[in-house]
Amino acid sequence: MKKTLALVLVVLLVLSIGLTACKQAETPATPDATPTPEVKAEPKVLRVGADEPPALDPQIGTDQVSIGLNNLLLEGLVRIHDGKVQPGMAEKWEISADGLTYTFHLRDAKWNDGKSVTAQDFEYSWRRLVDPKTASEYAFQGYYIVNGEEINTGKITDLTQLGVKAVDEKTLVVTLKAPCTYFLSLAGFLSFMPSREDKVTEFGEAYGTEVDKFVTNGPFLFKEWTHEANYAVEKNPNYWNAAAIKLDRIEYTVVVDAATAINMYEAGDIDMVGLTGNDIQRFKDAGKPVYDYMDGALFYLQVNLKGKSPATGKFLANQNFRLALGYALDRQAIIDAIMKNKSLPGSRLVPDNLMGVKDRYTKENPWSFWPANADSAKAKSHLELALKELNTTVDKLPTFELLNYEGDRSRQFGEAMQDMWLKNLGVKFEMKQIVFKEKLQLATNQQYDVDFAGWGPDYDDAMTFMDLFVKDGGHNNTGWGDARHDELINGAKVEADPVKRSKMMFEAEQIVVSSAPVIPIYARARNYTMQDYVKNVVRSAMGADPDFVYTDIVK
Amino acid sequence: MQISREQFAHVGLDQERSQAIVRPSMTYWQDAWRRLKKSKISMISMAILVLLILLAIVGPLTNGYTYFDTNLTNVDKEPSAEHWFGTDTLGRDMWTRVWSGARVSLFIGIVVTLVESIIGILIGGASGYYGGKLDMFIMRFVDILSALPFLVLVILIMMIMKPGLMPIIVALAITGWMGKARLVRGQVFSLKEQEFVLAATTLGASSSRLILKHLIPNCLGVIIVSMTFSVPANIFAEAWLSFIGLGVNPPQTSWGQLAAAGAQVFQTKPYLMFIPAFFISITMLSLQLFGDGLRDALDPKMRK
Amino acid sequence: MLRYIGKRLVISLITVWVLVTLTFFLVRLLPGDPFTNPKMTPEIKANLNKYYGFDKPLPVQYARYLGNLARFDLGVSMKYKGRTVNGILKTTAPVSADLGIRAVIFAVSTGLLLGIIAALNKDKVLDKLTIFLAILGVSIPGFVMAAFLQFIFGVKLRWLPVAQWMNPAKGMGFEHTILPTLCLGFGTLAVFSRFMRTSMLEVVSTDYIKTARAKGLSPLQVTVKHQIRNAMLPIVTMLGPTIAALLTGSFVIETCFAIPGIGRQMIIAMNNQDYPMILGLTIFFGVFLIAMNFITDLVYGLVDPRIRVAK
Repeated sequence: MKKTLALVLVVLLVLSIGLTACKQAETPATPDATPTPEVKAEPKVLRVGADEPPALDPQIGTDQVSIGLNNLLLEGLVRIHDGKVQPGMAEKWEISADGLTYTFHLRDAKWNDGKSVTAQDFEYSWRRLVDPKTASEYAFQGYYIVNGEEINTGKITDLTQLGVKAVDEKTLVVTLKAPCTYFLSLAGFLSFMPSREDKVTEFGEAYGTEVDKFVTNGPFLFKEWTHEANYAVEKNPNYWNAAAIKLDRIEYTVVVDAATAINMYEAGDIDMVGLTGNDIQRFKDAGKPVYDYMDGALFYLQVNLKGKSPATGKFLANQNFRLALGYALDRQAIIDAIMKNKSLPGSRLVPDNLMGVKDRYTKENPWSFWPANADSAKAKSHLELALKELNTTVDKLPTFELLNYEGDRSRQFGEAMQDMWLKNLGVKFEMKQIVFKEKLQLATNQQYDVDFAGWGPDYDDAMTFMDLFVKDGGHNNTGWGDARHDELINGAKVEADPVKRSKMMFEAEQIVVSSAPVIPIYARARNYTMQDYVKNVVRSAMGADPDFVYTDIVK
Repeated sequence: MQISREQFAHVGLDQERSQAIVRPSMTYWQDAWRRLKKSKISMISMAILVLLILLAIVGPLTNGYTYFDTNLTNVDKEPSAEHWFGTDTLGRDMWTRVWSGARVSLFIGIVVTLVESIIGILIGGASGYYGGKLDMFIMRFVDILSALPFLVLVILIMMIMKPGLMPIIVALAITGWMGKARLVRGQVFSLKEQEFVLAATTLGASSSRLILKHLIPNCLGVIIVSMTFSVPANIFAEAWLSFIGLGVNPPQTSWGQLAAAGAQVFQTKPYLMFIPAFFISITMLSLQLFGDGLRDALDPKMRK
Repeated sequence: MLRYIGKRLVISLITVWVLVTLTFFLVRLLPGDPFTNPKMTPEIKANLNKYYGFDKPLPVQYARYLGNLARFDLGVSMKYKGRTVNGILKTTAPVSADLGIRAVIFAVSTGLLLGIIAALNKDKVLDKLTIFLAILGVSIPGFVMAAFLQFIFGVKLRWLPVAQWMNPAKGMGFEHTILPTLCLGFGTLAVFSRFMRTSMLEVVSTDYIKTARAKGLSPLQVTVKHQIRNAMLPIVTMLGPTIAALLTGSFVIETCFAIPGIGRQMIIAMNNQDYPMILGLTIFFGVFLIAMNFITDLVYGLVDPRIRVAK
């Protein structure tokens, strides 16, 4: 009897939890009351895989997913498409001769709930960005504006002191601290997109966490969001440029595993998918299209001149030793073996896709410091110089530590470099592979010898890479410093003449690269495939990637 | 036919012969070994395990390559006469890597399983035998330890220890013994109410003797099964810990890591996954079959 | 009995409190913090610390956390900005529980059945077959199995969807549950079948089975009434933690099948050092596990009348 009871209890145990599960089935995705207009025979629906958006609130969000989705849902004063500035909520603007004052004239546009988009909305949003109470991680984007930094760091508490003024409902005047050639492209970035005071007040922290807790003014309307599962946007018929918008609907499936996404693509569940490593060749072999683009990220080694201990620091502080490390690496061979794509060997600090004065910076300032292949003769001669300078011999070299990210690919990079240093120089490296946050922390604390790191551009200008290695700058973890370099960078930041500015940056770049506190490894290319009927998807290094705003489906 | 009394002779009581032991006396362990030897499958399984261990020792030395020697002009090659198991993404010889990985995996698999089993058996045994407050205390401790986020423990261990085999063993043992403790405790609860325990207690057996000689041998069946499952679990856990940097230092590798890396390319380079996966499976199969035989051999109830 | 249950409830509360306290302080020992990212500057970090109250002394933060916890307020996620931990648990936990129940039912029932078959056919072909199944179950990791099944049934044969959890509103039904249930349950199935086999064989030589045979019960009756029931003990011990583990989600399975469950939340929270999420998830898992072990202890007494955990 008691044993039957036991079995019943076990069954109950299972069922009792079952009830919770059943409840879940009763709350399906928000049913769509008004589906797509029935006029068209076949609505144009794009299906893609994506991650869950962590923060749609434009002044809070910083990640690629939120940037990509808000590129469709919201619109700033200007729209950045394929690296070019297009009119957005502002139909035209004037820039003062000194490059400090921008006057934006807004067009008649509506929020999705029918209210007009006003200059006050922007004034509010930009103040909100730098308000320390908002605690925006990207508040530094507002530091270009007069008093932006002062307000954010608490030196000024009056928000109205910010150099942004709504003159009337349709006119916004922005005053910059220093001339900034790329300010327009910044103005299209997520941080400067509008949020609305009444709704932010109403929903507080929860602004942007649900479809009905968000207001939008962009080309698409937010339609569905089942957290962690899927979300969807639909064309906004009231958007000012609706004629240019071709897609009726974009369906996002939350899928984070790359292999699963590829399987979903092959099963026809999604229209586009990223490819890496061996899959690139597999798709090519199968006669399917494989596209590539440079995503703007540069991966490099940064060298801690102090070293993890004095024993290693002694060598790492020596420029010839660092140069030896750099020349011993066969960048092209590593890329071919591991990335198996068109990633470029890192020959300098600034990647190819950033703007200079009129054209790309690297085109206007051609230079290549590091060779694509290893130069073991040069590496050895630098090592000998270093050993002579330090008055020691190869056999007295300590074992160095290579700090590395978690994951298989970065491990392979590390292993390849370890072996090259051993074979070309006889220098031994031990790899320390740890979780991302801990690695950043160790790098910040300068508890490493050599660190495999990466950096992606924040805005379309060479400066986004150039100011990394200013002595005691927030991002320089190497302990390296050079007075002339710092003078050039700080000068370039306030220089009004773009040509002069570009020259200054170029000189600074040559200084930092040739003294090798940073050793570029590769500029990353990414690959993807998509169905032939998907047209006009823009991939780019800056802003929304991929950019679906003008994407079309032609079946 | 008549049997008369005279046909019988009185031989008397021979003190010596009545005390003589006809069958050789055997300890529990001798008896178990004798029975284990009789099981053909167990012996074959054991032979395979020994062979795998031997290959792990000599395998990396057999073809002149090292596990860290990259050759970026000869990457992703299928198995051939030159490279018996092919080469990986960095052109390293997979035969050498598989066997040098076997050293790590077999070592971790076996050592961690033994450590966590011993801890689990002792704590679980004590908890089940004494019951009451001690049991309550130990079991709540187990609850807390099993509910603490594994990753938090692992990262903290990693912070205080140098990377290598030791932190993995510590991390896996710390998080692995609880299941066994609960299992043993449950068994002991049931066993200690049985008649033979009562008999032993009446005969004056001490608590430690009771636990070690009577209760634990009777739990060995489930413990052995549980151990055969812990070995693969630990082998894969090592791969995962290595992924976040707690594991063996690259370029050193392990079966788990090789299989995990291979799984990502199994559509294009199936051999990179199947070779390590095959050896993991063979190890598991031998362990299970050997475990079955061992269980039969160690079961005190089957002692004749 | 009621007194025992009351006592256990009080102790459980204390256990949860110890767990919360330990986790609260241990996560603060982790290197880095939620705002560690390459683009962070010290001034902005100061604003964030103030916003989240991290500028206050740790004991104050702890007291505030306990205060909120007493009101069942687990705080707001720092990765999914503005979403409450309660809200995230509420949307993700049921999905994992749903999948978990399917896996438990599939794995435990099939596992026990196979174990019984194996024990009754000891050392025969059927027995060895279950061993092979068990080997497959434990020596193929979940992500390999998931990739394999997806590739075969989703991509090549197109019988089943590759990924995504069922959502009746979108016309995604039962077929979406099959592969994840198989993958999640397979390892457990293997373990249970092996344990059941062993446990059955342990029982077969006990006196009460001999008595039952001697009484003249048919082999079927002996098996069902005595052998299986008495072999359930280790199964019951394992059932609690197994249910707790399967119902609280699996990172691997949920990631591979794009399932919006709670299993992958812990890894996401850890990667971002999302303190409120780590704590919230730990409490959720902890309470679940403690409850399961509590129930297990109660069930012991019912499975085997000789056992009395409650003393």
